[in-house]
Amino acid sequence: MNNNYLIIRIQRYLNGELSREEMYELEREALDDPLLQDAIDGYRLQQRVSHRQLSLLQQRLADRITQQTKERHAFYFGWQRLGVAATACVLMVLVLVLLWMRNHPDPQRGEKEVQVELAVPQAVGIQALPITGMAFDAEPAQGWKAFNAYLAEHMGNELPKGEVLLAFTIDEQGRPAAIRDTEGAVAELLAEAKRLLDNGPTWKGNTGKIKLIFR
Amino acid sequence: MVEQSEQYLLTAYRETGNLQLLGRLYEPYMPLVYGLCFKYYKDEAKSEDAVMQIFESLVAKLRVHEVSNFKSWLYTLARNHCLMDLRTESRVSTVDIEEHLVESDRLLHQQYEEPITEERLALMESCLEELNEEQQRCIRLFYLEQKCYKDVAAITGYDLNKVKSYIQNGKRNLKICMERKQE
Repeated sequence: MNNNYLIIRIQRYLNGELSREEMYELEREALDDPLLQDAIDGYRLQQRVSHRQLSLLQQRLADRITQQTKERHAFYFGWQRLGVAATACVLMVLVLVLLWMRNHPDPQRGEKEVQVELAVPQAVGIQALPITGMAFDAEPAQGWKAFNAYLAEHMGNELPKGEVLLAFTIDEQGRPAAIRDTEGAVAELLAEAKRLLDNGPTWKGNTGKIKLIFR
Repeated sequence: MVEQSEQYLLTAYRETGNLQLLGRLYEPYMPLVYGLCFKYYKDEAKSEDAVMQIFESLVAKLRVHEVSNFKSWLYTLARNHCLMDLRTESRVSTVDIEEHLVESDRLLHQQYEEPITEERLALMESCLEELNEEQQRCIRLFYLEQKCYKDVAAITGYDLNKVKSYIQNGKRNLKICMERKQE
């Protein structure tokens, strides 16, 4: 079936240019072909077949088809541009994060440093040093290490820095007694040092002298 | 021959999406589709646009659907496009929907052609008797005496458009009658 030929037949049919046999033939075809029937009805309504109109339609179709290749290019460039834009965005975010990190040191890292200091004995903030010689023979019943650990655990908060020198005797129960300041320490530190000694572990020996360093 | 190359174009387009192929398939039908659209829209610009819109739906649909009879499939698609469009515009014009629905059904029945036997001829004759007078006269003149619509109109004195619908409806009734009697 040649459709160009068909459209000419339709045109001639509507213009009454076909012979009776040809008219019959087309009518017969149309009865079995609803598309043809509707097309004939349409052209009859339009009262003409415009070949110019039909070739314009063909032109539109041809334009639409060539558009596909252009569209593909447009899409290609579109994706490329999007890719560049996305990369630029990611880079910018990275730079911003780096800048921010430089200006704001990681708070977590600071915390870690504090923990390391705490792990070192000096960091407890207090240390007891034995002063030996003369008649001072006292030492903590559990040893200096345990005594320092006790001090670190029980020392009060917000004490000023400084040193306290204490001399004391040890009674029968091993408790320090007659605690006195030998150097004239800050009252606050002295009171704290006495409290720590009074409540602290037992001692061995008869008399003792220690230096407490509050850092 | 035509159907073979159509089948080739359909398959090739479905696989590649190349619009050149689809264009070759659609172009021969454009004049018919335009005529069909004009029948429904009664507007040249709208019909032209519809021809292109129908092409666009082919672009999408033929990548997915496997179509065996392109012409009848295209007919249904194009007609539905126009009818849906008119419905959404809620400007229901003077379209006799029932008549058109039956016409599209006919395509389905067209697939098989039974051999004509004496028995079928007798059956047809008895069914012809059952048609109303106008339909019967027009059918006889058209199918048996092979007169064109114009001649039928001249002989019977009916209006040309009436002749057309008598024949269309007569043919439909005949078919229904014969199917009923055969069972």
